[in-house]
Amino acid sequence: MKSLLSIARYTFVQQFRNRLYLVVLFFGALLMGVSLLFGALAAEQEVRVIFDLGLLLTELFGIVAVLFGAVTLVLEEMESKTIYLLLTRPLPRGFYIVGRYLGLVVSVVISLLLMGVIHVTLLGIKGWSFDPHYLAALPFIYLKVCVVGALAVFFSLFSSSAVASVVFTLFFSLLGHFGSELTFLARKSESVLSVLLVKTIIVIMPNFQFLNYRDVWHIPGSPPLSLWVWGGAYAVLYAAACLSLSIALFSRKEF
Amino acid sequence: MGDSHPAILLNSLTKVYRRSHLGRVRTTLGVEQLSLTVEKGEVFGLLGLNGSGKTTTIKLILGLLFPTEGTVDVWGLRMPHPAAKTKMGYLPEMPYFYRYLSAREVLRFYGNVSGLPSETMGPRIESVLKTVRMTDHAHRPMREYSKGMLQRIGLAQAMLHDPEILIFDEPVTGLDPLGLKEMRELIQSLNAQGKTVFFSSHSISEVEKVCHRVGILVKGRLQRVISQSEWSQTAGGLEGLFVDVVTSAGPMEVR
Repeated sequence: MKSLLSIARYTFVQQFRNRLYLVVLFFGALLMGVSLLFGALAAEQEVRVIFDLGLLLTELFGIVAVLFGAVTLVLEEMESKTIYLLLTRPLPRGFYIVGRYLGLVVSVVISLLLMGVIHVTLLGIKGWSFDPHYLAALPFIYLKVCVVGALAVFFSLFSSSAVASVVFTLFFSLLGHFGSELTFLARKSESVLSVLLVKTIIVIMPNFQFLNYRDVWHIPGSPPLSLWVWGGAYAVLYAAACLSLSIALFSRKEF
Repeated sequence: MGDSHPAILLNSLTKVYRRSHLGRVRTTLGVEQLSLTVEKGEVFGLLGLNGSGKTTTIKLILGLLFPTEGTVDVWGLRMPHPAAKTKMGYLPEMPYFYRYLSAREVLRFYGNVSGLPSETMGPRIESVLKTVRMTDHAHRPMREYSKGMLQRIGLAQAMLHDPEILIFDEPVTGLDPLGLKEMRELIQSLNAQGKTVFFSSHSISEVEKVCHRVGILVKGRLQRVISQSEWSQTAGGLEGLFVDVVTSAGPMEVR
């Protein structure tokens, strides 16, 4: 356990010292500022636009940061051969994958918290009165980031190219937002083969419908308990499945 | 893990690399039917031309590669056994480290992963830094280090957890005359402490000066194991014996 926590801790330190990561963080903060501009264009809906756009940018930043973080951490480590010195020590290979993932996710979530602080400050300046929905929206964004991070770790082991890993992860993440459309397609299709194909895709792809708090927050008393339970359980199980597959791949990998 | 077991035991070890491209599988022989015993407290050198299988042998011992056939035992434990890994220190041909960490941070990280107790960690790090004469530079990020400095930190991390067996891959390649002398003295000092040292090299003159026995690999096969007493009584020394073994094995192929 000490070695797992050590991997997570140094991944976290590495992330924050990585210039590329800091540049992404800077652009995240900058885009928050840009949302002010869009807010100004929206006249009396200014606060609403800054609110929505800020949350969208937080989610996008989180996905981009965790995606590039996962791909560069694992693939770069294999290409630069720093992994040799780790795997020749008494470190179970599964610990390596889980430690890397935890360090990465924690570093991204802390960045997202920073973005949240900037966002709330901007909203406060514009006279926004605090809405508890905001606090409920952030954990769902973090859960999405955890799922995308786990997918990215899997694809960075599955593929030997960083570009292919990014493309596969983005493709899966995008399709994950179209769960209900895919279900509709399966229902309308008459061919057994295409129904089977679409249903397989639905099962394999992450279903971000479970984590789209924006879809339900107009309902009084939201977020409903079921969303917390199903969303949380789904994200944890999906990420665990991706990490289990990653560990299986990594255990057989030669260096 | 008793003294009755040899430090390293290779039994009919074969490694065949399989690479598939567009459905075509290409195989390359790494090593074939390699059997070898390295005793406790021995300095053993592995000599061979480029592509003879030296690095493959080392990676098989360390568990970075998996044998196609045969077995590797370290202190009687079948590799990759975690308990055996705690007793091994490895210096790769060109050590790579995390660019954003300082040497002290890297050593602490490897110490944690190696299971070094917290109370001995600090003194042990300072001790190995002193041995490789890097104490004054240990606070700097490793991206600022020269090749020679990286090599020194490579040695420090290999010795950090006070392993019983040290495995060095081409440790003298690229060293200046002073570096060669220091490396020779270090190997002799480690051996005087009762450590087993196993290393690969191209440099016959260096191997001749420090090794008790030498194995000559030709095209993945261990052609001959020669002891110090044999080469010291031969007119041409180890170089003459090496040339005889390599030329008698037939013409070299480009591998």
